[in-house]
Amino acid sequence: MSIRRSILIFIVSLLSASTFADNFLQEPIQLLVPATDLDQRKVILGDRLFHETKLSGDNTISCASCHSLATGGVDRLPFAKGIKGQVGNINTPTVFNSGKNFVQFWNGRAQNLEEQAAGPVHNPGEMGSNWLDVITKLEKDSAYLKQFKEIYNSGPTGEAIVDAIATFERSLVTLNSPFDQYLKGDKDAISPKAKKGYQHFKSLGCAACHQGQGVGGNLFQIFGVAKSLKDSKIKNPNDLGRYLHTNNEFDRYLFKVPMLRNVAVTAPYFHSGQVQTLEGAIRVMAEFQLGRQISDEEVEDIAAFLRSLTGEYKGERLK
Amino acid sequence: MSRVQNNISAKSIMVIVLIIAVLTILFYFGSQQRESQIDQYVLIHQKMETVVLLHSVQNEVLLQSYSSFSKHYDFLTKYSHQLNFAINDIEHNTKIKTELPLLLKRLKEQANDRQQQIERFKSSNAILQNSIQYLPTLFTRVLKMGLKRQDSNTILHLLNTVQSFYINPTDQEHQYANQIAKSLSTLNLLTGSSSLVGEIKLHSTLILKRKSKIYQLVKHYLEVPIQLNITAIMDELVRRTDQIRWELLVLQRILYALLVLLMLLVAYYIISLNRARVLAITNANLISNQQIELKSKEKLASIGEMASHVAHEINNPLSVIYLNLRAVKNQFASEKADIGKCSSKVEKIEDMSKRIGKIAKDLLAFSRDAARDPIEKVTVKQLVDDTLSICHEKFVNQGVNLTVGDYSTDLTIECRAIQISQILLNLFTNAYDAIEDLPTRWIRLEVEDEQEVIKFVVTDCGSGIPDEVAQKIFNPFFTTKVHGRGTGLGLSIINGIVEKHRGKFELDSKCQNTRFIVTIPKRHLATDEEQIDSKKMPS
Ligand code: HEC
Ligand code: HEC
Repeated sequence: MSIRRSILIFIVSLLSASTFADNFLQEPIQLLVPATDLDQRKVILGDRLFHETKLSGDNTISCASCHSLATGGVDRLPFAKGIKGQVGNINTPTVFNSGKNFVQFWNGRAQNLEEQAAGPVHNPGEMGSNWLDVITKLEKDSAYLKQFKEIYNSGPTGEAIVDAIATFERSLVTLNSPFDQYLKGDKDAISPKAKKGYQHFKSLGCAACHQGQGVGGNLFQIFGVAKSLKDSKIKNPNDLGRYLHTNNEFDRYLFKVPMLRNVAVTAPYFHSGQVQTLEGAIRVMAEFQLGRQISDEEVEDIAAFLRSLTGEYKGERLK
Repeated sequence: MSRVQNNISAKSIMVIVLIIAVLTILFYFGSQQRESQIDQYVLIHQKMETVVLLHSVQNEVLLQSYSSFSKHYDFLTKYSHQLNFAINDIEHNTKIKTELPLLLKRLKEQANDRQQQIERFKSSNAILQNSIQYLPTLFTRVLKMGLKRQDSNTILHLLNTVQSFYINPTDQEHQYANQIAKSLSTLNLLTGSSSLVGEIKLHSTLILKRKSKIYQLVKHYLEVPIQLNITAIMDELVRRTDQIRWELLVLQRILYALLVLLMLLVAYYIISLNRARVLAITNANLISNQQIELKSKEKLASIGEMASHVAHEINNPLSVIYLNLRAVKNQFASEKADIGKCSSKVEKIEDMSKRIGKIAKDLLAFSRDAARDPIEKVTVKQLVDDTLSICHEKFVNQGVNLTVGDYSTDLTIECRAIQISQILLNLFTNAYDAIEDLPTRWIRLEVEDEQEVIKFVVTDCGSGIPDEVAQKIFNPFFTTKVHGRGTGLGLSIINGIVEKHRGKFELDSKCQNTRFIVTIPKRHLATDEEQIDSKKMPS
């Protein structure tokens, strides 16, 4: 019944918002809130599994190999590198705040983190393994056996593994960014430049797509709304986006609008990983998504604003 | 015969009990199943309520975004997600084979359909909002450009049209679309190369396309007949739940009825088993034959007893007769016979002969089965005297003091006199047996006249009968006498006779001594048997 309660609270807050024009609803970007009700035992187990190379076929790669938490939850490569040095064809998104995504992957083919986590393990280009192998390997480790037994009352299973990993990922919420502090009322938490950048971000229309808690991550969008990217390298011409998943004409070149939380530490940008700098990404966005020219000053301001979105993990700001 | 019958009915009861037990179990499982079904339905109903709530919240939030009141899609995403989750949850956990899964499947399809509209709405709306927000900037830029008055007027007019198209109801879409298309074409002719004109064109087209697109999407979304389906599901749930509740009620009632029946049958079965056992003891032919045998044995025994009484009784007068006869014979042998002396002796012989004759008569009376004797009115005195005349001698000889209390000599009673004598004799003999070993021995008979009834109270010097013996004392075959001496039928025969006379036979446990009381009505009341007999054989 917690759903119902939250709905009620929501309705009440809507009412108060409409009466008092509360900033809460008026701001397109919302305060990032931590995930609640996470089983800490699962988080610990998931943490270990996330860093576990036994999840890959040749014991060389873990989730963290591509999603290193020390480097913003990404590999900082244009394309991810899987086992045996295989190079993929899509840029690695961060795992930080991935629990806030409305769907997973660039084209949203996984509905949730549980569904997602099984993907890389079985992808021959990424970890190139399967549950049977993984479980056989994990079962040799008595510490794992004990942990699984305690939490799931069984040995390791595919279901339990993805559950633990997903729970761990949900705990990866980067709170306390300067911008969140600003939203909370600390007017000096971000620089004047960033404040101006935030205004541009809203007035130029970036916030039409990048909004909510994650500053994105809650809708699909055509890459190249205002101007076609055609055969540009920036939009991998071979990647038809969500169409590959749904075969629906409407979904051609449709991608998940990525979250811009921590965007400053997750270069290179876009699903193609072809843009190295934040400024470059902003320009691409202005031109192809907004259909307008913006000044260098505006770009710098917006970049300053985007940098203020970098939050903390384990009490330390992401680098 | 009766035992066989009993067995058959016991068997059939067993079969019925088994059938009912099986039925009971079936009905029990039936009602259990119904109960769990109801639980399921109630659960689904609860979940559906959440769906209904989420569904209306989803509508609300979508319209918030549509009217650009809400500036982000977090809520829309969150509640759509929860709604879909709730619907999937219901669909996955419903294992009921009715039309419900069909409705739920349709609900899921409808929700998916709506979800798709929402996703497209978000995409289109973002673009629309973005372009709309750009319009004021475009205005100022046009004004700053320093175009020819006519050109800038055309452009400003176009932008105005676009803006009012956005604001006004969309059913005038065509009108605006035409106007905008016309303006755009003139714009094309005019300054096609300028980047500003390009942007204006782009955003006008985007707004035009997206606004009508969104209108279509939201219309589509709102037109999905999900509300109808939800109502149908709720109705179906309520209908099914009611139906199952009703079924459950019926099943439970039947179940209770079966249980009660079962219990009754089992109880009956147990009782009949018991009765069969009792019948087996009292009614079985073999045993009742034995009983009859015993009865006649008892009779023989009492005749034997009586014979010894009679022997005494006869012996005494016989020896008197013998002595007197010897005296008379001697007289006759001597020359001077004393006639006077002789005649007195002969008189004595005559007396004694008479007495023997009487004894013979009494004995004859006893040896008959008195049960069929007619009821006659006799004086109690005669009754008592007759009885005493049989046993008096014996008691005197054995040193037992048998006394009779005072009573009115003209007291009469309607009865079978011999049987009542038998009772008294039996009681005396029993008493004698009981007190045989005591130092001072007495038996006392009292006759009490109590209006309707006469009480014969026989008391002996014994010190009563212990309770546990007293309880069994009237049972047939019960005896405390040394083996072989009695058959234990004595008291039960008394009881039988007393019952025939509609009287009462009891042990007075309050008395310190052993005391039996036989109560006989003065006027005889015919028993059922006698009535039937008298009808059968009218005399
Ligand atoms: C070989 C490098 C590699 C490895 C190993 C890897 N990933 Fe990924 N991950 C990627 C790439 C590339 C994508 C984007 C794929 C796409 O969208 O098609 C991705 C996407 C994701 C996403 C979706 C994020 C988003 O914003 O959509 C999550 C979550 C994720 N990975 C978690 C994991 C977990 C958990 C593991 C370990 C089980 C893992 N990854 C292992 C490369 C990797
Ligand atoms: C119409 C929707 C839309 C608008 C408006 C928009 N974006 Fe984007 N943004 C996207 C999409 C879609 C992507 C992902 C494209 C891809 O890589 O497939 C994206 C990606 C980005 C990225 C790269 C993120 C990453 O991790 O690779 C940045 C940075 C970004 N946008 C910033 C902006 C800024 C700044 C603005 C405003 C000037 C803006 N966006 C306006 C839809 C939009």
